[in-house]
Amino acid sequence: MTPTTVTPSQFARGETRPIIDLRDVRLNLRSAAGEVNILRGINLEITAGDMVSIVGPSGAGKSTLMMLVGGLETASSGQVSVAGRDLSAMREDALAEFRRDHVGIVFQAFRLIPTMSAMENVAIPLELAGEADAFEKARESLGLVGLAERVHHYPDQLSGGEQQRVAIARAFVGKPKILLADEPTGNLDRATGDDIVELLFGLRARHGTTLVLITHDEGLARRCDRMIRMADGRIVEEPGGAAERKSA
Amino acid sequence: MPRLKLAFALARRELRGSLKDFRVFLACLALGVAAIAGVGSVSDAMHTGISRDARQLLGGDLSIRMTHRTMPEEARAVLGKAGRVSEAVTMRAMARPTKGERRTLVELKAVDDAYPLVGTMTLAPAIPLAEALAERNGAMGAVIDPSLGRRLGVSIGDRLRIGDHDFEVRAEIVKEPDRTIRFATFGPRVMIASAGLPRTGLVTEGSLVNYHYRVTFPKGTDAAGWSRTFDEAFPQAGWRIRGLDNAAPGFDRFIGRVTQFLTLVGLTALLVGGVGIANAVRGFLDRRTGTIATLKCLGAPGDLIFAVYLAQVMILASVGVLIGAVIGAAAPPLTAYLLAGVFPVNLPLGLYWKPILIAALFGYVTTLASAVWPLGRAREVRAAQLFRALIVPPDGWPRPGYIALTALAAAALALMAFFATDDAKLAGFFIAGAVGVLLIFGGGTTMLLKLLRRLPSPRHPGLRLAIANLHRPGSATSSVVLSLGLGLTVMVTVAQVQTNMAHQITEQIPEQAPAYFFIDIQPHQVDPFTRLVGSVPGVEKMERTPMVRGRIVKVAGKPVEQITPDKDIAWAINGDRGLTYAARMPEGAKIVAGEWWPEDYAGPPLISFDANVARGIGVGLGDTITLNVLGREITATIGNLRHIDWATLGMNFVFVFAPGTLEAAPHSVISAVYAKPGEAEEAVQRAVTDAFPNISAIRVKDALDNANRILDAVSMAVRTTASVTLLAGIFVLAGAVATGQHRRIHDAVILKVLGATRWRVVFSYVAEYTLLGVLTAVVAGLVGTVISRFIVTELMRSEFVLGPGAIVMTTVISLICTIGLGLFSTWRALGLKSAPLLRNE
Repeated sequence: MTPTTVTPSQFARGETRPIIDLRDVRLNLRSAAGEVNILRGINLEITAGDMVSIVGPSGAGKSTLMMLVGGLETASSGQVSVAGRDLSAMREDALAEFRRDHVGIVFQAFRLIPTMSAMENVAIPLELAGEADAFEKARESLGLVGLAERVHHYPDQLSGGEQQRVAIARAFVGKPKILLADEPTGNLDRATGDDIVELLFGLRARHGTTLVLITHDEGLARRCDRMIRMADGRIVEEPGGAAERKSA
Repeated sequence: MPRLKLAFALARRELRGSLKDFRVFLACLALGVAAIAGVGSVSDAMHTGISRDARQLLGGDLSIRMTHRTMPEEARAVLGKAGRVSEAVTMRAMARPTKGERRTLVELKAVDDAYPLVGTMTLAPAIPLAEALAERNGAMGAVIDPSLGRRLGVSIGDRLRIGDHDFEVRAEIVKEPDRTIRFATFGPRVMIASAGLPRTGLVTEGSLVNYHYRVTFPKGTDAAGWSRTFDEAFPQAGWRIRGLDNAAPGFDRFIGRVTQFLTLVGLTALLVGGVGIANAVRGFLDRRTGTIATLKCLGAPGDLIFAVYLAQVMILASVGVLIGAVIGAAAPPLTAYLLAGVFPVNLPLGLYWKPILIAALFGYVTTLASAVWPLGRAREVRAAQLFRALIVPPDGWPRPGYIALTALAAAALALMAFFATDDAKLAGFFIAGAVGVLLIFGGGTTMLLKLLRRLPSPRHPGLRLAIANLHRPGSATSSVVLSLGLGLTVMVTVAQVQTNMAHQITEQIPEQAPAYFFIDIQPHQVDPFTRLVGSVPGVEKMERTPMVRGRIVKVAGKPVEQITPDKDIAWAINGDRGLTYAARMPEGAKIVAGEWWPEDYAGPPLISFDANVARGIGVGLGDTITLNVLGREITATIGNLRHIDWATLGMNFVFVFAPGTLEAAPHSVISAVYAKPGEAEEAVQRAVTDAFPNISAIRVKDALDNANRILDAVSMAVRTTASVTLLAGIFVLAGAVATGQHRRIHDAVILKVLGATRWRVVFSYVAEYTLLGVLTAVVAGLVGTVISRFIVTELMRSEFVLGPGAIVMTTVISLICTIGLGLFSTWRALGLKSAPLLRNE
């Protein structure tokens, strides 16, 4: 079992309880070619408020791991506990509500709803939670990502960087405990990507959100508290991120 | 409730820009709803028009008809005291101009001075009716249908001989207020004054004459109550009384039948449209897979996803239903404009809510039945796919709840079809047919596609791609074959049945049918008539039989009003029927139950009855039938049942009495004369009508020509209405082509990148659409031919003749649709440059 790594910032906050706790998690899928082992026994604990990056080649199982944490995929065996809930025991609609209340997700391809304006896109999680002031909060959230002037624009009227800002505003608007970011700069040019990263890290720090970030950019990965390397469905190396480097 | 509000809010947002995805959905739904609402509205308008103009159509508040004889004095006196009375006499007669040899059968109507009690008679020139019919210079006047003038070459001022009197034609009839639509008239109308009728010498004992008595009551009279009392006071009268609620029963029945048929056409269009609706919803949801996954990822539960898209579909369904309802509501004024002058009443314009609401309900339930399945599947979209480059829609079956909801909607649709057609048997056939055709089409297409898949791959790459496109997973082949094929099947069936009926009318029947029927032969004229006909060269055979009219009043002791006959034999008990008597079994008669009586039978009244009618009114051997013949009720026992082949056009009677009952009743004789076509036919008609002015000749060829014309008109009408179904099929095809457009562009780009010229790509698509067209035509041709064969051999009991024209027509229409629409959309795909698309990929 991988020991819990407590970073100095966690010590400072007094947070040592894992918000994400994966024990011997395996995922096997059947295909025409036979059974495929996607994840082969993952053990991982992430403490609340931590920033963890996951790196590795394509097909290593990074996205699948993120799906398991977001309750979007069910493990074949093992235990997946997130925010104190055992996800493997929950049904589909309960998982949807769990995501609504605890998880924000940022995708590489933004995944905005094309028929809705920026504000409507951001308001959805709050509307789903039945919050009456969803639109005011959405407007505020868009203000925080620098899009106060573009709240009524539709996705196809926004640039790629602006679309990702809307996606980030949407991910943070419900003040989730956990933020999952899958290659958030993958579809953007370098400069825009850098802006997005700063925005993401800034909002995370402001809200104290636990961040799990998938990236191919090792430089970006190293800015996190921990960096996990995956290959062939396993965690092969946990060389440490900023915390390790700092302590070193 | 907040959840529902949220569902509607999200649905409203999702509607933005999605209207173009629903064009086929809206077209299919609007077409079906418009058809049902339009048919219902026109039908309601006609019924309203009839009841509004009921007095005019009836000729008064009450109409009493007697056959063969006038109303007894006592009853006539009671009638006279009730209100204003008008008397009219109708019969068939021969008319010929005093100059020239031409002659024709006419429907003669002799009216009194009070006619018409309601409405006005319009003549050209516009002179009063009394003046037109009055005696002038020794000749009574007559007004005639314009078609008679054309047929006989007579114009105003000419003389027309009817029976023994020469009438002077004074005017043409523009409008006869109490004349309803009749499809099988024996001849044009000639109207004369009652005073002129005796001069014709046509009215003798037993001649086929109807006496009509119309009465208008003073205000406040309870017409129905009066009618009941009057009828009860004269139980043996044997008349037929009609009130305002039954002013035009034949026309009412006609409207009812046509409405039923057209409602089924509308339902078929909606059924075909349902395929288009399901395809459109599925296509739309497939394109929304990413959005659905995103919503689920953000925490939307499955039932909210279902509710959002169901709300969206139902909002759009409301648009489709509204378009259909508006078109349907416009149908009565449009019909009134198109058919001005054809109907006996003016269609009252207005909004007919009931049929519109029924059509709207059909629209919504059809949408539910078609959309719940794909909607139920959409909630199974996996949100995890958002982490992948390719997001694919879910396949497989939806959850049991959605399957049950689909089944419930389909059952509701079936139930509504029962209520809409008001005929359980017809609705049952329709529903069974719909399910059967769906299964046959589904099964047939699957089999053909399997066969196609197993065939060795062609070497030509274009052809290989064309075949692969037809059977690749998710191809629209099945739904196109089903929807377009259903419309084409109706076309094939109609064409095949028409070919067979026309073949019968023009080739089979004339071979064995007589040339003429002569009616109203008086018993004392039988011998001279027989001698005269026998002396005309070319006459091959003559049959004759006595005939008297009578009406069923009781069936097995039960009043006929309490009997509900099968709809197809209602004609037999609805009005007067010809009765005859015979000692010997008629030539060619086929006894199916019981035995023919001995020639010297002298027992209580016995009848030989048509087996089919007997089954339709639920009687058999040994049961009694009571008939009113000339005011006398005769109860006879059914001694045997005959199968009658009406198609021979011989002298067939539903009722044949055994000797000893009808001989004493005043009756006339009817004769069928078989003669060589051409001169002999003309000669026999001339000889008989010259020698016996009271005898009317009915030319069978004219009747057959008339039947053929009606058949042509009916086939054309059926084909025109069936084209609504075909149109729905074309919508579905258009939808399928539009859905496949993206894939086709993708394929075209890849093929072009690999070095295929545009013409090679076009060849591949033409090959695909040709195969699709041929596949559809083959299935439609087969199913249509099987259905028409069943109709011809089992229902019409005739030999089936295959009409290859129908198959060719189907194939051509099918190919025009598939290749035309396919190439129209492919042309765009070919015009696009590859580079931008490849960059976006």
